[in-house]
Amino acid sequence: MDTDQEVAEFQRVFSTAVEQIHRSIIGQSEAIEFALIGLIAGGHVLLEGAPGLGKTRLVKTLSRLFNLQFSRIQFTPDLMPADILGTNILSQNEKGERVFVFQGGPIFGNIVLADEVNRGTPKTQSALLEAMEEHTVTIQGKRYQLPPPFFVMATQNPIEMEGVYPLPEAQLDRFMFKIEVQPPPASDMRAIIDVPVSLPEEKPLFRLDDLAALQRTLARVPVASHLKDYVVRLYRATHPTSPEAPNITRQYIRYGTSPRGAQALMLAAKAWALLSGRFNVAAQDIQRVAVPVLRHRLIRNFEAEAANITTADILGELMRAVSELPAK
Amino acid sequence: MGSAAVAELRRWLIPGAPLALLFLGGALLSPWVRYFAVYMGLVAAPLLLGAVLTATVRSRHSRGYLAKWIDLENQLEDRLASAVEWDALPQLDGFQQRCVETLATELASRRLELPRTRPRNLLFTLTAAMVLTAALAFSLGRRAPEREADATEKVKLAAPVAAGAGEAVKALGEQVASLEDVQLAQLASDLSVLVQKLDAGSLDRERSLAELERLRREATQLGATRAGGASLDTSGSGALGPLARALASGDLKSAEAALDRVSGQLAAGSLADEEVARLRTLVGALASVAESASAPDGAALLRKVADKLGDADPAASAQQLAAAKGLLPSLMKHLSAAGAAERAAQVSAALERSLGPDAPEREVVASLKAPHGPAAAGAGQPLPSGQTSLLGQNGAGDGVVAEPRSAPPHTPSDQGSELRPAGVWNGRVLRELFTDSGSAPSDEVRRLLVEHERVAEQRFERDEIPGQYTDAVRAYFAGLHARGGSWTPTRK
Repeated sequence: MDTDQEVAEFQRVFSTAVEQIHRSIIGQSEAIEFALIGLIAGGHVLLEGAPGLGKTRLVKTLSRLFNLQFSRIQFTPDLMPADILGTNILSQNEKGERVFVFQGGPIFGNIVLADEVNRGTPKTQSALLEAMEEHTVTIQGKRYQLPPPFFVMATQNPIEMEGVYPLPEAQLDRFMFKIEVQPPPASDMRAIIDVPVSLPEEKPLFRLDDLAALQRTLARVPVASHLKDYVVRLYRATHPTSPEAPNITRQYIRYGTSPRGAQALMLAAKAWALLSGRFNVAAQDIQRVAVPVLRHRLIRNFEAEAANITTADILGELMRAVSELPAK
Repeated sequence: MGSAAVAELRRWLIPGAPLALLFLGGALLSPWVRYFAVYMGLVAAPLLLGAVLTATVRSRHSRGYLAKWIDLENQLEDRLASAVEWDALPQLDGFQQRCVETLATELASRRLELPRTRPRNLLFTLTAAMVLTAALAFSLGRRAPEREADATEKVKLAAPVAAGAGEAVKALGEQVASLEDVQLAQLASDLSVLVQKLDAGSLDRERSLAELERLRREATQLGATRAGGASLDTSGSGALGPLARALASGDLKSAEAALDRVSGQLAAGSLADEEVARLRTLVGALASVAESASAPDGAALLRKVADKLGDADPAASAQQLAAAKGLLPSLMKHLSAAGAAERAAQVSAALERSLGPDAPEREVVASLKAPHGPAAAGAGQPLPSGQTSLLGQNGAGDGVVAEPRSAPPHTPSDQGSELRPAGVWNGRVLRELFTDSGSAPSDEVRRLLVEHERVAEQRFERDEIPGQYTDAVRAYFAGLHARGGSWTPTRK
């Protein structure tokens, strides 16, 4: 398959998937697109929004489309890590001996929906850390590899709601995107009303090989060094102690993004370049994906919170402040 | 790069232009500021040029920068910048190759817009530059005259000035010789020597100016003394104007003719009251001149005439005025002396100006060539024999004017002598006159002898020397002259 065909295939699969998802979810285009990009890029997605906005349905639909093993974890305050990861249970083998047998938890799936993840305690939330980053879990000193592909899509309720535990920065950093799911507009609501509550299960349209091919295509997209420099400048501009930090960063940011954020930014920009039909990454690709990639990685200070300045506001200003042109 | 140069220029010019304007304004007013302006300019200009050049060089951009710039201008979505980078790779992968091909197709299908930058505040910067340039041009085009000169510098007259000064002192010397005024002769001689030295460039500026100032002051004082402090109003018209001008110019015949006409008009009663009043003033001024000429009788007569003018009997006044005509020759001599002194002062002043830091050469030459007043008119004009002012009431000194022994003034051809004709009768003169060196005294010493004899005679006239010494003094000088041209050495 030549390059043109690769790119065309990428776009075809992507658009087909989006179209298929839109059959069951009205609107929420950004959430759908970035969830797909996350799946293809091997990143995890955090969806934030009120209940009933189609978050769970989106994940289910994705798993069906790509014929992936879906598992769901409903986070509650009394959920324990073992409930997620699994545990060793005492069992009797064929010889009649009693042995401990590992019983994997719901984390062992291709697409894991961590529903209302911020309702779990920090201890339980941290059970996801190793799985999300290394695609492995360690139970009583023994490591278990998670089945590829491994994709976590977590949903969380807005922080203002009762009974939620804010996700720690380390946990947030492991999500490639954070998508704020907005209530649908009135035009979409009329269509949503006509959608049946329970949909018949769709047949898989793509195979795991198709997903792997998309991932290979994504990895091949070249990035020129001036764009890497641009990402580095953006990265440094998010740090208030950096000399390159613009005023808005110094004023409203407590901690800037991690290097993982810069990696995610570049990976997402590659996907966006392919979706745009380009063979190279452009600065506008980076700018387009910057907010979903970085919004949960910037830690605002008290002044920003008091002034109700969102990270999206800060990022918008920051990208205006950082020039695309190289230094010389 | 040009944008960076303009930006750098703006960075310096916008705050620098007002300061430079202030400095240039100050330079027009203060010599100190003007003195430093040159050094400030010598420092500021290379600094500004260096800053602009540095900014220009430092603003040179890489190919990648320019490619990205073009990308932005043409919405090429980073294809050009990426292609420029990948151009250096030995082999391109499929994506890179397709990126370059897409770019080529894109460029072939449309015209590429090259980025242009308009420097910020260009108008402001250009205005500042123009204002500064105009101020500099104005300042350079209209430099304030130099007011300083090195006082220790040896000065030398410019050739035209030296020539003019030489002619002026020569004419002055001839005039002074005809006037037989020892003080004036001394003054002319000093001036002549000084001109020689200035022409040779042997004096420094300070000493030259001091000497010229001294001569100018002496000449002014001498002129005032000779004119008795009187001044003639030569501006009038009618009958009095020509009389005053003739007197001022030293033209004796014209003065006599004009006086006759005025007398006639006075007798006929055709003079207006104002003219009669001016005539009274003129006659009073002549009386002052007569007094300074040690002619008390003439002064009394003229005062009497002045007092009578305007009386009821104009015929009598006219008759007395006509009678005063006989005094004119002696008065004219003093007026000529005053003019010569004034001329000497004028020459000194012109030479002073020529030694200034901003010497107006043409003006100085014109001033040296322009004779003024009686000095010009009286020069070379012989006075009637036996009617000089040096003639006392008793006729003492008669014939002095005609004597060939009268001291000739120094001319530029004189090389000077050890005996400066400064009029000092010192031991060196005495040694030359009376020691038996075997040679005759020099012309300078002879001239000095004549000058001193004249002074003596003049003092006799003024009764400054007791009468009992008169015969002895005259005998002394006669004794010296009786030796004839041989100047036999004699021990006193």
